[in-house]
Amino acid sequence: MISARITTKVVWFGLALNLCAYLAAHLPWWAGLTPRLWVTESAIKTGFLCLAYGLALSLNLEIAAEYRQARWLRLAWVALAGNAGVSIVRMVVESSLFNLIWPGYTRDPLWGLLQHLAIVPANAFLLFGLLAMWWAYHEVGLGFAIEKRDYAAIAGILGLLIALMVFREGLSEARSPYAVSRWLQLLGLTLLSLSAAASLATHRVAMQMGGGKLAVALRFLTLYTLLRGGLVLLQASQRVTLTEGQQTSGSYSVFMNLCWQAVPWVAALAAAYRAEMTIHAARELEQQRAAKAVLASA
Amino acid sequence: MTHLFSEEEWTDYIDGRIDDETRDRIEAHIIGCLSCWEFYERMATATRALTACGAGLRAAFALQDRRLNAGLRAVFAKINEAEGVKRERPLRAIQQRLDALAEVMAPMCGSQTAIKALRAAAQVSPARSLESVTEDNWTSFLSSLKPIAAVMCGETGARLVWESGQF
Repeated sequence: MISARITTKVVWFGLALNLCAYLAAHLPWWAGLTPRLWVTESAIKTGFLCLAYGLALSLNLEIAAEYRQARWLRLAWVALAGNAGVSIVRMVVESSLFNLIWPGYTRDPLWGLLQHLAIVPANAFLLFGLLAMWWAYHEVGLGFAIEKRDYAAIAGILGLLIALMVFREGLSEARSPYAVSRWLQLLGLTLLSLSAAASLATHRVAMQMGGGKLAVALRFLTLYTLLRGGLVLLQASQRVTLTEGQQTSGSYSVFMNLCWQAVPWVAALAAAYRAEMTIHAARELEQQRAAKAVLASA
Repeated sequence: MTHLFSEEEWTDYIDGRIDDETRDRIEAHIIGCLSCWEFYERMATATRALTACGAGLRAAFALQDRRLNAGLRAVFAKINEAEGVKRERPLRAIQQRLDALAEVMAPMCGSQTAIKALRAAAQVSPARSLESVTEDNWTSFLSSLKPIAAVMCGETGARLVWESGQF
């Protein structure tokens, strides 16, 4: 089993290593000690993010195999694996390492188009996964229910989405020469907002569980979705209110980069905590069988 | 068969915790009483078996392991059943089994979920409520719990719940 090796500790360590490596490459430039190490920073970013999503993909597939009888949960974890898989493609097409072979790649409108061609299916997978998961837990009939304050929060998220649509000039693709790019970005944002709303429902399920490893996994899934949504919103609002110089200024850029690099690790943590539940069950089962064997032989 | 001695005195004698005077009286008695000698032999053999079993379990698991506790509880429940000590025991045994199941599920899907799952399983089983779960409808109750556990704890978790419910 992959999950026996990729524990939550391993994922936390990966996250810490990623952030430390990024800061180690970025801070000397920030302090004026070295020239900007673009290639090193890009390699760290692309490599670690692909690794994080790769871990999430393999763990999610293993978790999906745990639900041979529970169809909706199997579909939910397969969809989350789809989200991680497509996100790897996104990390590759977004990588500024391509600037080495295609100068100006990340400033080309095609870069935005490719990016959103990956974001839309990734977000669609995420939304489907969260909805399927919520439905599976709702359908089992244990009384998990959304509360009034959740509806208020969902209304707030949808309000923010409408605001983004109205002020869409602040979006990165607003001035793209490709119409499809502009529409894909709006579609991607809609899917992400709906995912954030759905993640609030799964968070409510986690709250009503009274602890346990599954609740921790669901909370990390919520964090993954809300963090992504929050960062997109922050970027869009900053694009409207800050000048380009301020956006690329040291502290803001470092903060956004650290947050974006933490996002895939949060997805991997959600999967690792859920996989840990299976490991725990398998270990208990083994101990129980051993105890029964000892009793039977006595 | 205890003759002149109480069950407690016999147990203390076998465990080596008895005072000298009573020990002398018991030994003087069992030399001449075949049935008490046989009773002593049976008790001593059972004690040795339990000690060996306990040592085996202690060697296999850490002392703080909940499973060891549950295993020993199961052993004592079986001994009591064999001795024919019925009275209120069945009800208490069912409660212990339900508690053990909730204890197994809680680290995976939470304590609230565990309680809700037990109630939901009882409702769809012939018992109709958790309070009506008995020895007779236990297997049906456990069969109803398994699919719920499969959703909340995964299939490995459901197997654990199923096997924990089998005594």
